[in-house]
Amino acid sequence: MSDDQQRPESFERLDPRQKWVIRIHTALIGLVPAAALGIADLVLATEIPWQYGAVSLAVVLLYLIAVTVFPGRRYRRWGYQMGEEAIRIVSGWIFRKDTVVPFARVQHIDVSRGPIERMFGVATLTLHTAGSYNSTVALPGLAIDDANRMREEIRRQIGHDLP
Amino acid sequence: MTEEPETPRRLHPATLAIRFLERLPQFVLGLPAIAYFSTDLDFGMLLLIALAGLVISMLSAWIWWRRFSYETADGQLVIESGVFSRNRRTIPFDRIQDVSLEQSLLAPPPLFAMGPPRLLVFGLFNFSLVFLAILGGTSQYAGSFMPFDFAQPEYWIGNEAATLLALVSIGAALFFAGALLMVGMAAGVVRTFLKDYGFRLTRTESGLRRERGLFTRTDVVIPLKRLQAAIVSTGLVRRHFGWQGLALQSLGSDGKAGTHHDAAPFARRAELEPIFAEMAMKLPPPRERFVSVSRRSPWHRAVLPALALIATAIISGSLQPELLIVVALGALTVAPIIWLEWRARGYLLDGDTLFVRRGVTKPQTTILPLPKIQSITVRQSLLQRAFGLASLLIGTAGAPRMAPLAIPDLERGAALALRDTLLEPAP
Repeated sequence: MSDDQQRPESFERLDPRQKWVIRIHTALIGLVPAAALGIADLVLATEIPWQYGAVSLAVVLLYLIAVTVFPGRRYRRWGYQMGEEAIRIVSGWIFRKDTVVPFARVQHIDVSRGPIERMFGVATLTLHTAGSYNSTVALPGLAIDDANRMREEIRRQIGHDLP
Repeated sequence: MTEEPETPRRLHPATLAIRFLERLPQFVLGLPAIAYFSTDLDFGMLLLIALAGLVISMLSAWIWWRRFSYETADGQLVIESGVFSRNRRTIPFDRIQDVSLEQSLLAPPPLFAMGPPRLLVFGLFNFSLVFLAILGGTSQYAGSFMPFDFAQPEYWIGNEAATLLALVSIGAALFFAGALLMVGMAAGVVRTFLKDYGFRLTRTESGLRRERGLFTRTDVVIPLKRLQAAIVSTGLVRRHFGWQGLALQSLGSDGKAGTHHDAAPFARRAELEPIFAEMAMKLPPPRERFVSVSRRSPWHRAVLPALALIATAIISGSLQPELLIVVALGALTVAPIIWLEWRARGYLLDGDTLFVRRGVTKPQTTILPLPKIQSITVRQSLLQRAFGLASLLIGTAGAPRMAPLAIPDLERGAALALRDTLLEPAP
């Protein structure tokens, strides 16, 4: 599949600052497996005749790639489209998701901001539906004003009666 | 509890006696399992463990009973429960959907009911293997008292007498298998009678009411307004006898998703028709009318098993060529399964209803009215992308969280087009 088949021009991009949010998030999350593998390398080097540092080097390289290259790709895969009656959200670099939620099916809406998101002035818009699959559909990386504006827009269109 | 200003009430103390009787069989049946995992213990010790377990279990039941209270005041039901974390649930009376403990003399005839003859047939189809596992544990336990150890290869490759004994053992094994079959069937019948005795589905003002159970009678009302989808299923064997089951997916009543309600577990298609009429839903059309998922789907699903088999073939082939036969047998079993699964999959859009069918051993069809769709996701894995396929996942209320309604492996264009059709607002 070519890129523009999933991300045509009509899709809105996330706020560019979100790239940094993903990057810092990845860097923090990645510390745990990186540290674990580093310790494993130490243990392995004493147990079996193995050059100490080989695993660690690979881990450091992978960590650097995950922090520098991957966030940009993941960021570029995100997109959304506010339609007349529904919102469409595409995401995913390896596993691609393309979700449509009709406004009439939204139960309630959250706008949330974590500490990293606050640092960069972005927010996550989360739509709650009554379905058990996709019970929450999150759209991260919106400028805080955009997120609030979209929340008001969707709220106006929420159906009053439960299906 | 007692320090509350109002007067909360406890459950009747007889609840504890009932609990005891309920738990007793579990411990008796659990004995072989304990024996299986701990061969060193003698029988007395085992009994002691079971007794201790029972005492602890009853103690916890008593604490639970002490901490459970309810009261009805100010037009609401308040239930307090919990040992460590207290939970106080308030249910306003007008939120209680249906209690209906009274019985009217002019009760309408049931929409569907099952008498003992039907239950017997149903029970035979409900062949249960659970008891076989328990029996397996018991025989293992008994085995430690036997003079010979059947599991030891030295016992088998000894002399002519041993071969003779082995022949006798084959006969015994066949007899044993037959006996197990009978036990399995009997277990199925017993379980079915316990669960579905006096099964009645009636139409009430607000919805469908189901009563069933021999010792534990349950009485459930499924309001038609909260009905989300229906599932018609059958089995590998019962399919050929024309038996079907109907379950209803309704809006999670207790925040518990994925609890489907049996509405007619064992019925003829003609018996389902009046129920579907009450629900204003359509019965699934014949299989021929369904649209198959992409022809590339079985190829896509064969990739990973094929890679695994090839890897096994390379490794085993270099070590011991005879093992290649096992690999070939593996391929011969996996391939038909993949093909059968593909053949069982299909969907059909008929007016405002989507039918989705799947399953080889338990073929089932979901009947989903389009307005009940909450969201739709088109998902593509890396491998699916290589084949140009995509899966359609439909969010519906009250469905199992782990197994949403899905139409896997459509061609990508078809998946996107189907999604747009499904989400088109009703005219």
